[in-house]
Amino acid sequence: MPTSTTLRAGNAGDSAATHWANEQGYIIKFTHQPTGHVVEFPATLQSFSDIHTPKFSEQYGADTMDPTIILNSADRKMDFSFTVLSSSLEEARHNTQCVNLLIQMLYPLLSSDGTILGNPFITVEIMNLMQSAISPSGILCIIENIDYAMDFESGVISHDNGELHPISLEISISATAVLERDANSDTFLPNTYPSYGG
Amino acid sequence: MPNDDEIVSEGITLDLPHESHGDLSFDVAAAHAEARERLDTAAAQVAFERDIDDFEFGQASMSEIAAINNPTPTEPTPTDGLPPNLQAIYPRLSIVEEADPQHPEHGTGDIGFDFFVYLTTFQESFKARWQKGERSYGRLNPMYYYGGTNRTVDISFTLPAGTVRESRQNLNNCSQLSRAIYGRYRMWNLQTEHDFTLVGSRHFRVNLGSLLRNERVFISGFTFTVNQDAGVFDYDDSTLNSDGNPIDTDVTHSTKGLLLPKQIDVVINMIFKHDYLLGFEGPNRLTDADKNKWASNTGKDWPHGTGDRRVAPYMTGDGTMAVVRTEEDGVSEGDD
Repeated sequence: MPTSTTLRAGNAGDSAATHWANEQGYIIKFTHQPTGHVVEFPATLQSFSDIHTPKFSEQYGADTMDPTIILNSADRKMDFSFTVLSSSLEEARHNTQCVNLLIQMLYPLLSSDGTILGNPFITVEIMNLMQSAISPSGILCIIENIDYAMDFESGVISHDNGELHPISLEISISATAVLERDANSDTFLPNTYPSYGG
Repeated sequence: MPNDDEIVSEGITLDLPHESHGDLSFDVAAAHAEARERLDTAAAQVAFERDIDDFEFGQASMSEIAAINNPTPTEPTPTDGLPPNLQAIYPRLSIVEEADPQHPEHGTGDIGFDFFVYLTTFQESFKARWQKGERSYGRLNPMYYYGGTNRTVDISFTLPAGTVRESRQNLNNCSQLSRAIYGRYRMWNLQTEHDFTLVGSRHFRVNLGSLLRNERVFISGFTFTVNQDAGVFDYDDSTLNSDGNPIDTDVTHSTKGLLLPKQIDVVINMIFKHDYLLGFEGPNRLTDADKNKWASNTGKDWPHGTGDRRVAPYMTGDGTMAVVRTEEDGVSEGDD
């Protein structure tokens, strides 16, 4: 039976810098679909935008002023960023491992000959901001980009042999939602999709 | 009463206790040898410890990687005299040209940069190449085709100079680095003359503390900026040697028309060309116990190091693919 790993950032050392987020349950959760690996971060969100874009085509009749609008599809694209804070060397190393797993989630499952077996679809869950309408998990996404930016103004945690960890690390992510259907539903899209809770 | 330049120089001497300040007889070779000896001792110690350690523990250290890579600095660095704890704060950036894995006969090139740098920006980007397929009318989602993941990094750092000598070294190093983005050319001897053809881009092996560890890269951009606010070292021919010729001092130089900046800001852009497997499972993970594990099977964290912390369960490995390139050709035994 394949085993999956779950890592949770901000949960190591004696004094986690993200205690408040942990206590409030503000968690960002990523699940790598091909392997089931999970990594969670305290949701120290810096930005979050969720753009829903319909795609239309227009048809003009011979004697009508206005076009007939035909909806072809609707896309959903999320951009968000959060910081990963570390207050000790031990916590920084643990957080680095968590960030490593997040980055690794952009890579696929490989077959025995090295070809791609499973595409790196990722389920992203950000409290009530990104939640599935048909399951208690997040939204299935393709993550197109992860930016890893060290904030040197906040300082670094260093150790021997060039080991270097940022006290504050900003992760920026661009993702596109893959819409899910509930096969048992009597509506094409779930009535609760999209939803921001409340 | 010292002039302004001398005050600056003295101030920096207090902050950065390296050996070259105020001493024109600074023994370059000795300082360099001392730094290398310190590095080799650390590498030997690490190598010894790793022999007796479980491979699940620990990371390849900078010293270990540097020892494997054996970079050859062209000049001593301003921080060669720094104690190890300060060297950790100012990580060592090593960029060493290596042979084109597809054309090793063209040699390894001659660009080598090995410097303790004052990092100002480190921004890494991982872009998954997803291609959207056609979406028929009413279909909920288009087809998504995954094509791979690109990794790039932008590194900015500052090269300060407390003395004329250091300013010259900085310029020399930047000259080398700037050549990195230009291709390699092969000379053809014709009957009466010779001509050149482009062989290809240059390949580099880069190390930067725990952030970049023995990665193969192309350098896709190099930006050199003189910080005018920091000032320059002025020309002055009034200091003479025993033969009566003008010489450099710490704060003035003897070459008329030469601009020696006190601070240079550098930005380097790199594109990674990994020479090992990236993904989960794959040909190095064929047993049932290897399900869902990271493909490279080195037992080390990736992409960034985590010191001697135990790796996560999915990263454990027997280390059989730890050495992914051979000394002979510098190429991967993996997926390259």
